[in-house]
Amino acid sequence: MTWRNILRAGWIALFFTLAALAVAKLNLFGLEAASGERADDVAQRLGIVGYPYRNHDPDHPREESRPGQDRVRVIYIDDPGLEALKSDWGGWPPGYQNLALMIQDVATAPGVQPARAVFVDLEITGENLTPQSEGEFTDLIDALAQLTRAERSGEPGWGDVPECRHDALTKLACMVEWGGVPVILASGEGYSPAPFNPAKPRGETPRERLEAVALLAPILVDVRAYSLVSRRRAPDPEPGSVAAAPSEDYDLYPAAAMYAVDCLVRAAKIGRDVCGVPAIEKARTAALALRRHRQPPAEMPVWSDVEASWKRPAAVIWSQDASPRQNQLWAQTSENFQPNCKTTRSLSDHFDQAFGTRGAVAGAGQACIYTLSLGYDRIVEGLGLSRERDYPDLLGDKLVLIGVYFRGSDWVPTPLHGALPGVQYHAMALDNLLELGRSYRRNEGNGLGRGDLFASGMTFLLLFGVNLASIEKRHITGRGRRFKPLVAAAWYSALAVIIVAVLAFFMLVTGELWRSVIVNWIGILATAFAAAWFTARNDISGDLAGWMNRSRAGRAVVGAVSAFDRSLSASSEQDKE
Amino acid sequence: MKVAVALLASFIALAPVSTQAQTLGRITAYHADPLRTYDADGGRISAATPRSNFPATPTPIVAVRPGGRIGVTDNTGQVVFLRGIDVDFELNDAGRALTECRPVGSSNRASGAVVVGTRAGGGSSTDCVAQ
Repeated sequence: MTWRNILRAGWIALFFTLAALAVAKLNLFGLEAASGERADDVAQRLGIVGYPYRNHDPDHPREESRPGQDRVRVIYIDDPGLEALKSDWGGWPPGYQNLALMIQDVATAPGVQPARAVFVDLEITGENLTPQSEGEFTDLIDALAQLTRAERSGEPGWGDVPECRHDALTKLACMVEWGGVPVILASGEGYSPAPFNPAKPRGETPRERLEAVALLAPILVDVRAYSLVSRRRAPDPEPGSVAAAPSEDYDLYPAAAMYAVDCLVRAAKIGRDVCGVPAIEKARTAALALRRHRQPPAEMPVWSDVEASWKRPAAVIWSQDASPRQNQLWAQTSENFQPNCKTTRSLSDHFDQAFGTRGAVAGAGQACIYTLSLGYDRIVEGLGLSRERDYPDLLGDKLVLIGVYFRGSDWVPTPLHGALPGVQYHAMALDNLLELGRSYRRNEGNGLGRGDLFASGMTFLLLFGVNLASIEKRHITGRGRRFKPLVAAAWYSALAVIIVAVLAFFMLVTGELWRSVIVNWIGILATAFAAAWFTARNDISGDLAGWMNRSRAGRAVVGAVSAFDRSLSASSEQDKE
Repeated sequence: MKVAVALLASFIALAPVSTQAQTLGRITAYHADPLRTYDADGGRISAATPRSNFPATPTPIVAVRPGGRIGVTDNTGQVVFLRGIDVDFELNDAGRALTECRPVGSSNRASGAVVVGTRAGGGSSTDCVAQ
């Protein structure tokens, strides 16, 4: 092996790696995107992306070592649940008063510590208000104002401080600072409020009235790229005027908004930043100044602040490690409950996943949901639930997401659970943020990111090995070693073990990278195999044998194998004689 | 004679209530004030009935609706139903028997419940029919 050949192999590998990267970024026929998604799904099923990561802390109970699973809850309404509520609600939609009651029940259940924050994954448009429903809508607004402390009896609420409406983070910080329960509502499609103007009175449209007492968050997210923030589009310019500058205002998506509340509440408890997101700390400082001094601070969060931390959408990681309380809770509240999903992490689970039996129709093969969940109707009825343990565990100081489980409405595909209700997607994205903080796994999209560097590195190494073996093949073939079948089987098995061991070591070393980026290993392997197909004309194992002959230890191994081979040949010839 | 008939009638009228009050369970604490009250069919009677309208705890439970709400006699003598989330309550064997149900087969469930039952687990408090 000469330096010249090594360099030559390196240059060729580099050329093909860059070519592969370019083709990947072009995403011709969507092949790169499709194979990348498939590769990630399989990696998650195989447990390569073994989420969550902090579950082996022997000094802490499981709940405490999993901030997401400990704090995130999903309260759902499904068809039978709706049936249970039918006599009260009259059907679907529930009506503004019932909606207000549901939010109140979840946010401030009697005898339980208030929720830390509530997200309602139901779009409230307030369209087609009649004189009767106008009264109910006003009741909803009043209930929300009381919960979030936009209004307070006897003293000003944050709704009386115009700067609290400056931006989404400041509004959440004001809700926390004023002692309210932040409520985040789904804003729905097409809603684009006017930019903040302290001189402008609060709007009078239904959505503007909702926005005056709660936070409206966009909910339309890609199933592979969960957006955390988006820049609000600038208002349309007046005819004949110069186009307006891009807006500095922004929207927070539900997971980011709930995560921000969690950071704000924890920071308020200990008096310092805990999440390391500068925009959240800036909002907390602003809310403190507004509450204590009634003066807006010099700086308030703007788009560039949130962009710095959350511009890239999250590539949500799912987990099969269901909450240990889930089945117990369902069994308590449902008669004859039989879990129809897998809750353990046994070898057979991995086997199932490896062979893809966990598809959309795999039924009981699906992994159980990760986030502790319960139907709203069961929370209301209270049968089987204890005030001391269950209600606090479900609602007290929790980040609660309310959503629906209706068939045909808002379901998302997942790698481990088949299709799940959209609210579970928001919950899992929030869980990822709580677990991983600023290191959440990013979907890099078409730009160049860490994932591309990692994938390119792997591609280069594979191609380099293939090329070098191909270039150096004469060294090995020249030595022309031919093994007997038995020896060959042992020799190739040993090589296979070595390769697997090297791969395992590689996975161990690069495990953190596999978790932090999407690795299209299908594309990488396809590229390497294609290169091998075209360049290798002899056994690569022969190359390896030649390479081993370069060192004393290697020569000893090969010599021993050869001696064994010769002895077998000799005995074989004796037998013939 | 009229007095005897009146006594008998009042006995007949009150007997089931008192019997049930002893057999279905009791409310041990009220956590909400005011309380939401419902009739036997689940229709809302009032969204804000003061706590003082109800007897002191432990309040006998005189009725239980399958799958949920619990009935008590308020201070006016009317049986009203309360939500479990608003109170702490205990059911005895007779009370629990009224909440027992047998599971509805997945094919008989409402559409979403099938999906929830098979993938997300569970179902609902009414994912059953009374025995």
